[in-house]
Amino acid sequence: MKLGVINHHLKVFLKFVQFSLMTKMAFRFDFFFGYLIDIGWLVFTLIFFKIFYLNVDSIVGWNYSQILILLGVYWIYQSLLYGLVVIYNLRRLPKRIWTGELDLYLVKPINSQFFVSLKEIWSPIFLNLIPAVWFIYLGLNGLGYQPSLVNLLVFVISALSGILIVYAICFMVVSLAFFVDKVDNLPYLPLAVIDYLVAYPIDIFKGKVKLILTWIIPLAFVCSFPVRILLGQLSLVYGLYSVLLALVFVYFSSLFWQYALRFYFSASS
Amino acid sequence: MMVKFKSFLKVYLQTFIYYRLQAFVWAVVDVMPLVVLIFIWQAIYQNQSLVAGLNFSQMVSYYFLLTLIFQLIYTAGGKNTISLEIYNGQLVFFLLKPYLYLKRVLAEEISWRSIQFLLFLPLFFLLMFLVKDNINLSLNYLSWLWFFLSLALAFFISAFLDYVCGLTAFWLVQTITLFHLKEICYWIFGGLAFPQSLLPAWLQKLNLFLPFYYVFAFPLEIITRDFYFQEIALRFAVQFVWLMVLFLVYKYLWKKGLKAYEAWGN
Repeated sequence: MKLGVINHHLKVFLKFVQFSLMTKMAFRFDFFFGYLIDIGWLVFTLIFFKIFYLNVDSIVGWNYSQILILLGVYWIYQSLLYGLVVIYNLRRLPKRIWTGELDLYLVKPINSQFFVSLKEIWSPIFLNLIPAVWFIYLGLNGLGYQPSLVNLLVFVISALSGILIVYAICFMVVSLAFFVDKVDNLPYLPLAVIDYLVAYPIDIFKGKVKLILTWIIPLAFVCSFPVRILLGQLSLVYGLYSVLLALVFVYFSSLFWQYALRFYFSASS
Repeated sequence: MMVKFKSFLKVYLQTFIYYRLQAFVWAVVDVMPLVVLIFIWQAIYQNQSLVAGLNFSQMVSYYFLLTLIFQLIYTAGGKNTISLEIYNGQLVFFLLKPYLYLKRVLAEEISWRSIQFLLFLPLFFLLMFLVKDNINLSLNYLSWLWFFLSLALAFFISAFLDYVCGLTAFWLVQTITLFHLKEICYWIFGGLAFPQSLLPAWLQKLNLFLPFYYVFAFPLEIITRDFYFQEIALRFAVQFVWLMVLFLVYKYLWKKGLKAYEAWGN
């Protein structure tokens, strides 16, 4: 892909962020209520794990501090994926396909997958990153551990790659809307499955299930492996694996999108 | 009165059969968190035989039944029907009709639940096959009688709690926060996240006076643990009182809301 094309898409994305912020901040009440809901669920997740640890010492060898770090990474994953891609974009994609509104996206001089995935942003995501980073800091503090700069860098790269992997999987599932009729909740299907699988340490699964979730549907690279890279418990080469897997999955999602578009019949908008 | 209700049921059942794939997706979405929790407990029980007085079989039985009860009890008419129709003015259309709005909403709820439950059954049997060696339920017929009675009351508590949240749309610009708050309360106090015995003792006592406990946790506890007669009688009494309170709050908000309601166009 040429550098000029990447630069162009980056500029367009920054404009998307700008317009989304401008639009959402016009309704300040909605903006802050949306953030309040997110904080509510974060507090619930914290209480959930707190109650677990009142009754058990560890979950598959993960103590409370390590779980706090996992929770922080999970929150970053959720905030970025939902805020950038899911809430206003992927969730509305099936309806755009059925009503023919997708025409407006396909005729623009920009990559259509990029456009349908990132057109509108859920603004509170940037505020959501603050408590997430705070949890990671608390967890590291609780362990008395300071990661090296290299570990930190590879951790960030692997966490972002994990988000890309999930995005690609969700995008492919949502693209099935070209083939099935009137399934408004199609985007919720992969998310409901994936969200609950990545929110806990991958070690809760054993045998073939763990193998599948590590290398075939690589959800271990979303939260568990980045945390272990940060804590120096996993080789840094897994950071490279995560990038390769992300590239492969995004490439396949692009191929599937191009294939599915052949089945699109505009509703003459 | 029942003729109109049956007619609604028939119409909505026919409508929702058309959306059966959507119902199946919701069934999977609803069940997934509970299935993953079984994996977590399996991992935890490798290092200890009891957690808060419960062994692994009891824990698995709890979540196994919870997946079934959730499909039967959980209602969403407040968010998907009532608050939406208040916001977009469609409520006026139904106010002019010669039937109770509540009757229509309940019929829609029961129809959707029925279709989703039927589509959920194959998943349920698959789950049963996977965990059959760890299911440990009461064989006492009286327990099952209390269970189904509490389930019926739980459905209406869930419905009226949901509809009360929906009716706040008469006054509030944003009701979604209330619905999310209700969900969080179900997860913590209602027994969706874990059995009540995992909560601190003071919170367990407080929980007996909150409505959320009587939606999922109470019916489940009837089957998975033993009760003295006085205990179960008291809890049924509180469950019934909550049902009455929520019904009266619903009636009050409906009456007040209609006086404040304005709609135009449509």
